[in-house]
Amino acid sequence: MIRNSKAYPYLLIAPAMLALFAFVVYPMGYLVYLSFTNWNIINPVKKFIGLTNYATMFAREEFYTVAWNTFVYTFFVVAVTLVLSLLLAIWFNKNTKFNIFGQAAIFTPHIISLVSISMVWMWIMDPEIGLLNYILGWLGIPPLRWLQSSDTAMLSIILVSVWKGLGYYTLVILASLQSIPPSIYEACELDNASKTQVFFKITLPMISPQLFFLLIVMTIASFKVFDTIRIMTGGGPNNATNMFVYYIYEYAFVNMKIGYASAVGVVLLGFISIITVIYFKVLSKKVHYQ
Amino acid sequence: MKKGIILAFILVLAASLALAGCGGSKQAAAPAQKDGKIVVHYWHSMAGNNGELVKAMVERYNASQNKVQVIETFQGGYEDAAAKLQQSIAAGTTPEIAMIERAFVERFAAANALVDLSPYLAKANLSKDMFVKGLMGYSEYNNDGKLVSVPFNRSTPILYYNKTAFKEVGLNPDKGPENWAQLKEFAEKLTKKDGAKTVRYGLTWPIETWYFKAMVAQSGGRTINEKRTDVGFADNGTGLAVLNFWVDLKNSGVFKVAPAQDGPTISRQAFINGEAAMFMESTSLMGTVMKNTAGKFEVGAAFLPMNKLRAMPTGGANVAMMAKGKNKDAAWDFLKWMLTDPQGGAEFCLKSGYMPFTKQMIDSPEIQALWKKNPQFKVAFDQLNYAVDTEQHLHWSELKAELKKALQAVMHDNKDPKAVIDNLSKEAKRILAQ
Repeated sequence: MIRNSKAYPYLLIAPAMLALFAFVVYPMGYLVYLSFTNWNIINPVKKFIGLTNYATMFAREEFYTVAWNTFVYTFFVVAVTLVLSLLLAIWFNKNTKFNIFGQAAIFTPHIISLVSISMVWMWIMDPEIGLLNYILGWLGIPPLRWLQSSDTAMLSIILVSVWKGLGYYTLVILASLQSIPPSIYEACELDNASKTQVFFKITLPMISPQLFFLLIVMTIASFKVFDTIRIMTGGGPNNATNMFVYYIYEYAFVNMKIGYASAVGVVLLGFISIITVIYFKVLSKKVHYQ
Repeated sequence: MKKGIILAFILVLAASLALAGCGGSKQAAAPAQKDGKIVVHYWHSMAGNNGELVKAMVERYNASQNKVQVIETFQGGYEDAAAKLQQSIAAGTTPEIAMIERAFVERFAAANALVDLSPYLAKANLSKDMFVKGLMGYSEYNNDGKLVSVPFNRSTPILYYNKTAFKEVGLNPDKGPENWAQLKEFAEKLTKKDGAKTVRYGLTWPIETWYFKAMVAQSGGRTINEKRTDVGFADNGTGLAVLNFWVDLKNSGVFKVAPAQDGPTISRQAFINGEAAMFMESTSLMGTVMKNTAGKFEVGAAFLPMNKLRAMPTGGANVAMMAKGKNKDAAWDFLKWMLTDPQGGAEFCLKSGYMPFTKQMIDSPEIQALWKKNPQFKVAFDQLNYAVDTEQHLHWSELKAELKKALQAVMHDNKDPKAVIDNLSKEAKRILAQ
């Protein structure tokens, strides 16, 4: 009888909705509210100061540096990881013994904590005793200062992020490659299609839903980069690797400007929403769903 | 049947949530008493050698009586610890006693988060005159007579130097450089090259605001101006003079530029490994430096070299009692023990290199004996006569972050010092006007 009542479906989704409201909707609304105040966590009074936080933020050069860094980082991490993992997935697609080993090897970084990875890479990138400069020396290339110079700090962070994410994304693409029905390839063979034709007309469209999904997930994840920055550079030198989430952290928990940090958080939320909408409007037309 | 399964699932979920909830609250509430003792939490920022010393001190206190059990917790460096303390106030889980970096005291005092200690001192027949005067710059807030924190692990920057290297290049190993010109001259003599590679730099210090503040003070400037509206080193050119001196040292190849991240650790290691012959750092590292260089080379300690005048900031942290802490009387008993018992703070200072902070400690035979045996430990204390602190402001930590970035821009990015200072002054005006 309860099953037939109109309230039944609502009752069933209630737990999920409750959680969604408590952990997503409410904090988001509160974030917007905080961005209009000058709260510092310990002061019991949250003084309403209108748009002052936003005005300050947009008037500061630092904000644009941070925004630019975030875009540069996101663009390169997403582009390089996507291309490399696609290539690797195609390479690993044949089930040889070496490829099984290769898959495992490349997946390993994914299961190690990002903090440990950052520490190890800091050591590898040390300008005096690091492995990277040693290898560069071998090749006759002058040593780089990696994390310690503003010119190369961003490059170093991107390198670590790509290295860390590569294995996971390769496996996802590999799985989608192997789910393409072999009958399609057989049909191509009968039609004497060239390898490039097969790749661009069959393989790519067939895995495009997964690629599209990865693109969105990776973009959002790159926008939210934090651990590597916190451990490896502290946003420096001189803001060279300071990005949105670290910037928010700095203001919220080092400078104790919750209001200002919330305003930056709202802007970040805006950016991510805009990019996601663009992806859906523009790219989703090119995605082929079976 | 199906409904039964769903119901069971929901019940299990609810139960596990409830259990998780219990776990959380249990952790916060339980340690109010332990083995019949009142529990007092003490949060601090001492790691490594000095962390061990704090731990040992707390163990001595716990063993000395049977009413109070102090639990010490390392909460990260000064900034992390201040952030956690701030969050704990919002969450209602503050410790009874906290170590707060001196420049953050004002922030907590302004929010009424700290207990006025003067009634407690009066009850114990003590007064604030028991403390060394040069260390009291951060203990009172708004001059309203309230004592919101007392000095504990306090330091000043001093100049450490490698006596063995001094002898090697023909410098007098008993005297550090007197002024900036001599500092550079010594550094040039001490720098050793092997082809294009520098095997020993003359000098290093971390690219941090403390050393900049010291040298601004030595040039007659202030960190924040007297009206508290701007930095006190832009208009009078002292900041530019300091940065130009830093750049000059860097360009002459005698100064090892430590990276922005982990700079303090790396420059300290450079000195300990003999890769830098002179090094400015906190006196609190004296214990660590002596321990790690024993058998390798002799270490000397000197006042910071002077420019127009002799001056340096103080550093380190104070301890405060938190207004929201639960067991205040028990906390005071521990605090009083730290301040007065020879086994308390006195022993900690003796071992670590932090400065003795009460008059009683200075007169104690232990400190006097240490100073006689290792005069290096006394340098910082003598230097206190020249201590100046000019950065007390509610928004200092925000300004400090800007200043640090400015130093990085000049030292790591080769930005023009003049432009950097102008921009910094603009930011400072905005921050201080908030």
